[in-house]
Amino acid sequence: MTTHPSADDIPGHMDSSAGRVFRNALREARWALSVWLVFLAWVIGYSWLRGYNATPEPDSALPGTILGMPEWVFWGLALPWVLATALTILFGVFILRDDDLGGTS
Amino acid sequence: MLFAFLTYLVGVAVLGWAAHRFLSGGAFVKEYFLGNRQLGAWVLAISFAATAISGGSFMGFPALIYTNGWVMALWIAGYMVVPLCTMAVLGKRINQASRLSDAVTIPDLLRDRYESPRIALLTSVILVLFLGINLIAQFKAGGLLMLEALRDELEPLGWIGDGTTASMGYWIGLTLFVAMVVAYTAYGGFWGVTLTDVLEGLVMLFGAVALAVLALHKAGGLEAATLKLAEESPSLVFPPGPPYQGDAWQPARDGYLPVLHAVSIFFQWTIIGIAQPGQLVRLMSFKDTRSLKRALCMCAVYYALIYASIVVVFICARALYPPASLGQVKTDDIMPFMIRQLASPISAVLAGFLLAAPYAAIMSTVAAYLLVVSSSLVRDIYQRFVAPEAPPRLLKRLSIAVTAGVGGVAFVFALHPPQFLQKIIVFSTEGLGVSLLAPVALGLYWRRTTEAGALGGMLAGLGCHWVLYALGYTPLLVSLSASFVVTIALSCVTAPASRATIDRLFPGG
Repeated sequence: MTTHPSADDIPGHMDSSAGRVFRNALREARWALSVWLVFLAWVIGYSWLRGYNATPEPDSALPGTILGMPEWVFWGLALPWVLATALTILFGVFILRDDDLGGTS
Repeated sequence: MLFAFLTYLVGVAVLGWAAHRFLSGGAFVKEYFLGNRQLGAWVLAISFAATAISGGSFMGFPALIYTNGWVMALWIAGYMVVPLCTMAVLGKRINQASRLSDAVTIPDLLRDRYESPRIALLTSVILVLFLGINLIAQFKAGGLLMLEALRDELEPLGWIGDGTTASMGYWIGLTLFVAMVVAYTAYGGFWGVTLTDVLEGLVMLFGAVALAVLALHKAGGLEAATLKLAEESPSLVFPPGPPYQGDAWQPARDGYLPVLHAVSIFFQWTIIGIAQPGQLVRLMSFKDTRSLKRALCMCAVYYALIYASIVVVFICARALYPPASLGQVKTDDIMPFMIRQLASPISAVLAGFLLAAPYAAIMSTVAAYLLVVSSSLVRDIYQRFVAPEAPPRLLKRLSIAVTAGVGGVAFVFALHPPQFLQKIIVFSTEGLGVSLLAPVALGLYWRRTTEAGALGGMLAGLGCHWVLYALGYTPLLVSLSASFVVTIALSCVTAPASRATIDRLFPGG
C-alpha cells in the first residue's frame, strides 16, 4: 500500500509548515503542563503528608535524614527535582520537535 | 579581593563594548532590542536563567533560608519545572508568532495579534510601571553590594557609616553600579546584555557551587548541619517553619510557609514565570528549535545546581553561625558574610570572585529590565504613536539615550529608596503575570481570543490583584483565574480579529 505525503511533508509548503509548528507547539505545551501538574501534586502532597503533618514535639528524637536532608525533603523535594530535571532533558531530546520557525522577517 | 572583583567588572565592560559591533546592521531596532533573532543555545540558556535569578535569589533568599531553615527548599521547589513551564509552553509558539508578525517587543506582538493599538499602549504602560519599580529595588541591592565590595577601601575614609542606604558609601556604590550596568546596556543593546549574561551566569554558578563545597566542608557535612538545626528548633527542619512575626504587608502567622502559601509560591515561579517580560523577549529571539531544545536541557541542570547549592550553603550557615553569634551582621547580609567567613581565609582572590556572584545576578536582571522598558518607550510608544517614519539614525540615538535615561531616572529614585522594596518586587512580578499571561497565552493558542477579551482579562487580573492585596489576602490564584475567566468570557461574545490576521498567525491551526 502506497502512502502519499501530506501537505505538511512537502518542503516549501509555507502554510503547512507553519501550521505544523503551531500543532506541535500546542501538543508540547499540553505535555509540559501535564508534567507540571504531576510534580505540583507530588511536591505539595508529599510535603503535606510527611512534612506538615510530621512535626515532632520539641522533646522528641532528632529527625531521620537521607543524604543529610530531612526525609521529607529528600522524598518530597530532592528526588522529584532530580526526576524533573531528567524528564526535562528527555523532553528536550525526544518530544520537542525540530520545526522550521520561518525566516527572520 | 577588590582586584578579583574589578577583573570581573572589566570582563563585563569588554563584552558590552564588543557587542556594540553587532549593531551596525540595517534593522537597528530589531538588532538593538531583539538581537535579530539569532540567539544560540548557550546564550539563550544562560541568559534566560541569569535574567530570572535576580538580586533576591542571592541576597533575600539566603536570608530567608538562614531564618527559616529547610522549609525554604519547599518555597523554591517550583523551579524544578520552571524550564518546562516557561520554555516549552510558550517558547516555540511565541517565537513563530513574533516572526510572522515581525514583532520586536511584547506590545508589538499583542498589537498585531489583536489589531489593537490600545492593547499595545496598555501593555507598554504595565511594563514601564512594574519593571521601573523593580529596577529601583535592584539598583538598591546593587548599591549595597558594591558598598560591601569597597568596604575595606571606604572604611578608613569614614564613608561606610551605618552601612545603610543613608551612607556616603551606598551612594558611591550605587553610582558605580549604575554607571557600569547602564553603560554596557545602552551601548551594547540586546547583544551587550545577553553576552554579559553568559559571563554573569557562569560567575553565579561557579560562586554558588564553590561556596556550597566550602560550607559543607566547614560544617562537617549536610547531616551534621541538619541535626544542629533540629537541636536548635524542629521548626527549622519541618514545615511550615518558624513563626512569622508579620510586617506592614502581611499579618503574623504560626509558620513562615503555610501549605496554601506553598501552593501559591509554586504557581508564582512556574505559571506566573511564563509571562515575565525578560524571559518572553528571550523566547522571541532564539534562532531555531535546536537552540530551544538544547537551552531547555541546560537551563534545567543550571537551576538544579544553583538552587541546591544556595539551600545547602545557608542551611550550613545557620548551623555554623547561629543568630547569637552574628553580632552586628544583619540576616540580609548573610551572603557577603559567608563569603568573608569561608573564602577570605583561603584566598582573597577567591572571595572577590564569589562576591561577584550576587553582583552578577543583580546586573543581569537590571540589564534585561532596562532594555524591556526602553524598548517599550522607543518602539511601542515613540515609533508607533509619535513618529512612525523616524529615520534609523534617529532611532539609534534615541534607543541609546532612552536606555541611559531610564537608568538615570531609576538611579535618582534609588538614592532614597522607599521601604519594603522586596515586597514591591513580589507585587510587581505577580502584577505582570496576572495581567499578561492570559492575553499572551490564549492569544497565541486560541484563535477565538478577541481584543475585548484580552483588554478585559488584563484589567480584571490587575484590578483583582490590587484589591485583594489591599485587603490583606494572597491574591495570586484568584487574580489569575479572574483574568482567564474574563478573557474567555468576553472573547466568546465579541468579534475576533480579522480573518486575514487570524489566518496569518494561525496557519493551519
